[in-house]
Amino acid sequence: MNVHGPSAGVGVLFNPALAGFVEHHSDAVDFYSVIPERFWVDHGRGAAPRFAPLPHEVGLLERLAARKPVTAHGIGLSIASASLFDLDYVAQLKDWKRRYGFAWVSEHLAAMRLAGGAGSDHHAGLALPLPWDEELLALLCPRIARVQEALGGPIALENGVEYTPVPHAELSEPAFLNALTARTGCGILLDLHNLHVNERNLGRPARGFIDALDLDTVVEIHIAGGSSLHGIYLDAHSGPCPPEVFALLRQVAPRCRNLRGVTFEFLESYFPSMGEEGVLEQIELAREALRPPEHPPCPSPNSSAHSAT
Amino acid sequence: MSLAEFQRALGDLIASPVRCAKVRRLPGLALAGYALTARARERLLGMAGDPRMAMNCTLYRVNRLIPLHAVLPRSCRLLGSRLGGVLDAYFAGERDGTLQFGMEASRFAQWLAARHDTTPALRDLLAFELACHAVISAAGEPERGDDPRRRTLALRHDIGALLAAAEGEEPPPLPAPVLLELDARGDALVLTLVEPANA
Repeated sequence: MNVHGPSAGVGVLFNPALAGFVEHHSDAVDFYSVIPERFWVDHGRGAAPRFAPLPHEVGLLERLAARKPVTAHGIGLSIASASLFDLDYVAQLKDWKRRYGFAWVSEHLAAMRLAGGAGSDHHAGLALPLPWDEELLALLCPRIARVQEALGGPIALENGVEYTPVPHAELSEPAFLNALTARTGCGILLDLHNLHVNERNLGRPARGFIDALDLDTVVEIHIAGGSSLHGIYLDAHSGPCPPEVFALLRQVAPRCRNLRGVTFEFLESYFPSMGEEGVLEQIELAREALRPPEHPPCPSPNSSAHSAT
Repeated sequence: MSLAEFQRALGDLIASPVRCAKVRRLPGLALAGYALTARARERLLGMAGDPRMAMNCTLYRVNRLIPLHAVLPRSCRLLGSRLGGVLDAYFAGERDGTLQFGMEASRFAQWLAARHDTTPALRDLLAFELACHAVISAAGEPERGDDPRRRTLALRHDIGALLAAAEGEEPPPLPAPVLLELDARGDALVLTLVEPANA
């Protein structure tokens, strides 16, 4: 089920700053993840033609796809927007999945676009905090079924960041995700940095989230770095991952039996401070975190193994 | 419908710290335009009163600024200390933002160029930066009759002086307009002064 061999692969989310990396260091990664919206202009719902490919960027995509397996990480579906469900976008994604043979497709479990009064969409500027309620589950399940029918397989949905959670939710976020995956068969893209952000800002333990989530549904893991602004820690993708993220990766990856890939994300504006060496280092650290320990940890004195002896 | 209305109201709050403050002061009035359930209303009140809501509002502004600054960096610099006020007015007047960089920048440039207080120098710079973005975006397209990789602009200012202008300062206009050709057919963008526009 994974990209390469019996263990999960390690990849990087492509951005244009990595054009040289693709030429010189593709052997270092098992796959590239791409944001499909980078390769076309979307003139908006109702426009004809709606999607216009960007030739230069498409050329980059073709160079990537010639070297390594490619996965798609969409940002434009906005599947949790109650006021719109964008089937034309789904059709576009289906077409590009077929064209470039995406190994799998992921999207954000998010509401980012809202239907505007004059037929135009309003971009909310960020992913709106979601109410983890049955009402949202009822909205999402048939939509996910239609998306998966169009794509010909399961989609993986990513857990998000919240700065102001919606109060009085009926379910916890992992319980909501468990219900969603059980009802639709979709997968989870587990973003460990997002968990880290929520832990720092909201005091929600990342390990508690992981323990509550059905880890058999996790298809892909994202790792990234962040930075602080006005006392709030942001999912800024601003360079190397903090040590806490690698610690989470070491803990959770062996428990995800269907994990296919771990992807390092960063924004191109931070590439000059990292360079190709910095990206390679993050990939190697991810590989190290995925490697089984040579010497399994000694059982603790109060473990059942110790008690049995 | 209740979820859609909740999301509409929440999107409006995130787009406007002023509206957040109004919800805290006058919730009945500020939320009157939305068909909300009691629970949705209670949730919005709680979120508007959460001090971390300021970060959502900040991120909204940052994310709307990114496409503008990516395509029109020199125009933003030329605006200098006026930039914040201009953005406030733009975000308030043009609420339906998009993260499609070229479209958003083009819409902002049109909006800005139509303002009576936008100077001819800023209009020239907006036109130049939009044209640069357009021809560079088309760089990989095959050659055809109306080649999108080439464009000619009539400018009233020396483009070198405009690009070198310090923040908030504008160079004087040229004695006569000039034609500048932008050509992205090769490996790099080539700028060529064609001839005086009124020759």
